Amino acid sequence: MAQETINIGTSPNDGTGDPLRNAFNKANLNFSELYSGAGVGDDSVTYAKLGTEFTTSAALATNVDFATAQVFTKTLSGDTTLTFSNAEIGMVKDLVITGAHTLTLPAGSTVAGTYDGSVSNLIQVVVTGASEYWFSISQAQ
Amino acid sequence: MKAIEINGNIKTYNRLPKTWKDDNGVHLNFDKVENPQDYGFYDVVMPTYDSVTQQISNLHFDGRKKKFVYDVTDKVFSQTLEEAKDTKKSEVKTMAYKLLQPTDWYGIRLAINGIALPQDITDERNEIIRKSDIAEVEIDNLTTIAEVLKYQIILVEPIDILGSELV
Repeated sequence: MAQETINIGTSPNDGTGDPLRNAFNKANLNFSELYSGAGVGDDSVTYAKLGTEFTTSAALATNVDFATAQVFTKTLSGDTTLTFSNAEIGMVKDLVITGAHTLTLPAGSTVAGTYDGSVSNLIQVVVTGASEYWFSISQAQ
Repeated sequence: MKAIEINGNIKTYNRLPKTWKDDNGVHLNFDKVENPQDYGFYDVVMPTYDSVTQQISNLHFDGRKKKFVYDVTDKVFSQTLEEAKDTKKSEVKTMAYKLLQPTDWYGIRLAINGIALPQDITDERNEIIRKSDIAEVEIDNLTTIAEVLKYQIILVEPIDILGSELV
């Protein structure tokens, strides 16, 4: 719902503003929106209010654009070098990658786990510093 | 075998590492890389050489062949020919001693109790002694250290696991 703005007229008692009941109704609607969605009462942010960069999956070419999706998927068809863009410290992204080829991660990468080209690999990357990334690689058991 | 030269040092690998890290990043699944040469890895050529008389050393990169190669050089022996022969003949004696030892007690029994050695034991021991004598003569007739080092001492016929003699 778009924000309901109370019309307060142009000057006191000029008769152009919202009636009192309508004004409070708008206030209630605004608060209801907040409490049902991205509420302010408990400082929580619901999933529905997150941007698409946190809620969507995208096919990956070679550049992981941190501003576009949360999950990136790719089947390697040849040796591939990944690049990162719009990465900020603290960001976390998930890469689901398969394929028996060599996958090159950016310089400044720390890697935990081993890539297995015969199965799907979940590669979670955390931006730990400026051009510093920590990768955790795992496979289904 | 592959090798890579890093800061003047050559490191060899029986197979490409699963993960490789260099200035360009971390390369996962590196053992499946399409062109190891792009990362500085090249084949190591193992030369054919006589390990008794020759040695390999000085692994280096041959830019023309695009491979790592060894130099093959002749070994310098510390022993003289006669010293090598004495060493080899000593090995013959040691081997004969070990082969005779299990049946020595037959001889002790003969000396103490006068019980004759079984014929097959006697034949076996005589054969070991005969072959060791022949081996020492053959060693004495060798003319180079390489020949002495390569000389195979065989005092009993090798047998296979089923117990029959190998031809």
